[in-house]
Amino acid sequence: MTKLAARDYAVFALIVAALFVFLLVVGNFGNLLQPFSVEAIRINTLYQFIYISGSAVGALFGGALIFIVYKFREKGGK
Amino acid sequence: MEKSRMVEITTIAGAIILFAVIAVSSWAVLTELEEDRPADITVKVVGQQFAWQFIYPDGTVDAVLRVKAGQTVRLEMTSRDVIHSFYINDFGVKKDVVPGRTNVLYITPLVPGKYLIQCAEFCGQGHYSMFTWLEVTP
Repeated sequence: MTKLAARDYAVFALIVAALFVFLLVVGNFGNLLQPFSVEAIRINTLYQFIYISGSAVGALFGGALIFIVYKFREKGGK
Repeated sequence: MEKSRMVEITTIAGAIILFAVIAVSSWAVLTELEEDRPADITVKVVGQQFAWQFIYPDGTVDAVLRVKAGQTVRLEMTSRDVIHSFYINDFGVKKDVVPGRTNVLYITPLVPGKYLIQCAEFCGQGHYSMFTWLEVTP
């Protein structure tokens, strides 16, 4: 079994962070629409929270997938 | 404990906590939006194929909803024929308008302007034309 080095963890963290930032920028940090009413402000705040936490989870899983695909790729010749 | 087991437990626990937080905060907002509260004005809304009608407290009937910015408006909605849905996209609110019952929706517009009100429930051949405006004055 391949042991992960400190550098691997750093790369994984970097991928997750990059993916998280990407998702936040693409989704305008959860600010979907300009709110025009008190109710819309409450809904938007909730949406923002869900978007940011969803992005964090997505980044974690997506980042893990990218990292695993790269780290444990077929290197050939064996 | 084995490292992989720890990661597994952390993932499951993290997901449960996150879902719980989302559920509680969503429930809080939904409850807040749905609960009865004092309103500055109550307007009766009548949906019918294929138009909206607004009846103000003084008995005036209008095809356009006119309110002032900052006013909390209580909309008491019913239908004369089939099921409609009162939808203001800019305010993020939508409520079914059902014949034989009165559904209540609160809105508190903040920004003066003209906002589209649409029927969001297919109600017949003229459904596409069932829209009007919400005019918010300063």
